[in-house]
Amino acid sequence: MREGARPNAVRGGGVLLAILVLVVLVPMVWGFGLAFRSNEEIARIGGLSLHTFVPVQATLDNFSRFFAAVSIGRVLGVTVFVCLSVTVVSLMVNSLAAYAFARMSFRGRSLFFGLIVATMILPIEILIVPLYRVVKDAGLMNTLASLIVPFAASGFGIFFMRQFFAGVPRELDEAAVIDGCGRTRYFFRILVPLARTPLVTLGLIVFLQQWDSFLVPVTFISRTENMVLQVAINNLYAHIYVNDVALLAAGMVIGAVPVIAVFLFTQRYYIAGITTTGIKG
Amino acid sequence: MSAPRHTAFPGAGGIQPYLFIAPALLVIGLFVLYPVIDLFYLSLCKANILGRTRFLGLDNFAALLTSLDFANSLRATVVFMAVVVVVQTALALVVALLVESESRFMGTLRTIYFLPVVIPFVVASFLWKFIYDPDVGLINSVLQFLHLPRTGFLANPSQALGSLIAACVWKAWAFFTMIFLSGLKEIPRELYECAAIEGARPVQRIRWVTLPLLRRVLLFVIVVTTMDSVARVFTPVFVMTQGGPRGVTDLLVYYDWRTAFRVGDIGFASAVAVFMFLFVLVINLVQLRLGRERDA
Repeated sequence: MREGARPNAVRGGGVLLAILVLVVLVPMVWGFGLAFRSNEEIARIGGLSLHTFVPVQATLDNFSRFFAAVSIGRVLGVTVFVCLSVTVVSLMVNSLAAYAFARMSFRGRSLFFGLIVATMILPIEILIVPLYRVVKDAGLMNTLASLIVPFAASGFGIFFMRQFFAGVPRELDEAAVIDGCGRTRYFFRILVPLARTPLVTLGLIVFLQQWDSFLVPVTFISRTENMVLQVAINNLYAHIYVNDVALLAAGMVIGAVPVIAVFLFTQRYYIAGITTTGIKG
Repeated sequence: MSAPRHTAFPGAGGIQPYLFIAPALLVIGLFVLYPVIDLFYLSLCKANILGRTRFLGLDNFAALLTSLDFANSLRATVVFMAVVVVVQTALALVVALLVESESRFMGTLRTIYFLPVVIPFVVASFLWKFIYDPDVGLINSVLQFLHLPRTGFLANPSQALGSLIAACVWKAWAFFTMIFLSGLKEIPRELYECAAIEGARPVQRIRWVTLPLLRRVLLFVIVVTTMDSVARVFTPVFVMTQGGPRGVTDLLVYYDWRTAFRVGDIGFASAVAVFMFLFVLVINLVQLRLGRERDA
């Protein structure tokens, strides 16, 4: 509240903010807390007391059960591999294109850029059926490539990096020419290091987006050995352990903790990315 | 985009720019642009998931008009969209105005509010599935504590859509608070000082200074929320309700997916997707039109 606000408004606003803190935190504390109690205990919760939130007898048993049920090493390996691959490859592919659109003149530039930017308004959900057909015709069904290759470039990533490259002073180009630096070398040796902040921001957005990805892997991957974490959690519920709330809660914790940690350590970059572009992870 | 200006590099042009954009064009062409064309084509075909397609014309769209499932799905989608756009946008805006200050405390609040945005949608969906659970759920525990009858929430046809909406708003609202905050940062401080000198009270200041200057951001948020609330809700429906009970949460995006991948009718599913996209696009254009007119 700015100075001079009426006390009533201040109080009303303060109450709303406090309620929202509870609305945000209480479900998470309760839900993630389920991971540390047995199913018998969860079944006895009922009513409200301290033990609605605090385990009577805390246990890590659910985590070992979850790790065994999904073969945690393989699932995490696959998930991290896919997230990192998409992040690294798309940063390279998008930056290259973004640089060309920002700083090179060539025939068809506006047309290509317009087409690429236009794809930003298309949610993947709308295109899942024809995308499935492309992936199938390319023989990529059930492969990790089906989760990586289609996301190796994006209109959003190109647009985001172009904004940065367009702002680099032209004098830098000229200095590079005078020093006899070729364009490819100029790009990799000078511009890319200069673009560290936007690259980290975009990388974070892409990584978290991939970690969150569900529609694509649930549609393209049915083989257990190529399953990513979010699908593995869902499949536990769908196939075997419908009533095993404690087990699924452990899966929820494993699914959420890494991204919460990444967010808390990098929120400066992450929020900067959102506020400059308005694109959700 | 601005016209290409003189570039310092000698021998500009040539094949090099095309080599730079080739990988991106290839990926986007093959996995976005071609699928767009294929989607429109498929929507005009009798096609099943196993690969047989036969050109039909507009039959799928005619079938949409008479399908009760589609009508039900469209109705649910419209309710979901209308409520989310209004409630979520209002909440995000009000909170943005309240936490605008740069103080450490407000910074901590912003971080807390942002947590649901960060956690994966699958996780958030299971979280709320359990919170709503008729036996062990948190809300039913509270109801029991208050000596109120337990209720089904996601299992109850008259409560499921509202419960789904609440969970989705919980997950997403703070994201748009951040967008509003970035818009608020752009407003020059001097304007507030002027308003204060003119004797404007805080509420008047918000009404006559902040809101008019925030109009473009507000419009952007409404347009994005409209698209998100129609298209980006597959995961919560899939995890929490699978479209049930009795189809009350069978939103278009889920209806599309299950028609394609459970029933196998990708021709009809593509018609649903085309409809869904054009539907949102038309609403977005109307929103932009109305927003611009007010601007003038």
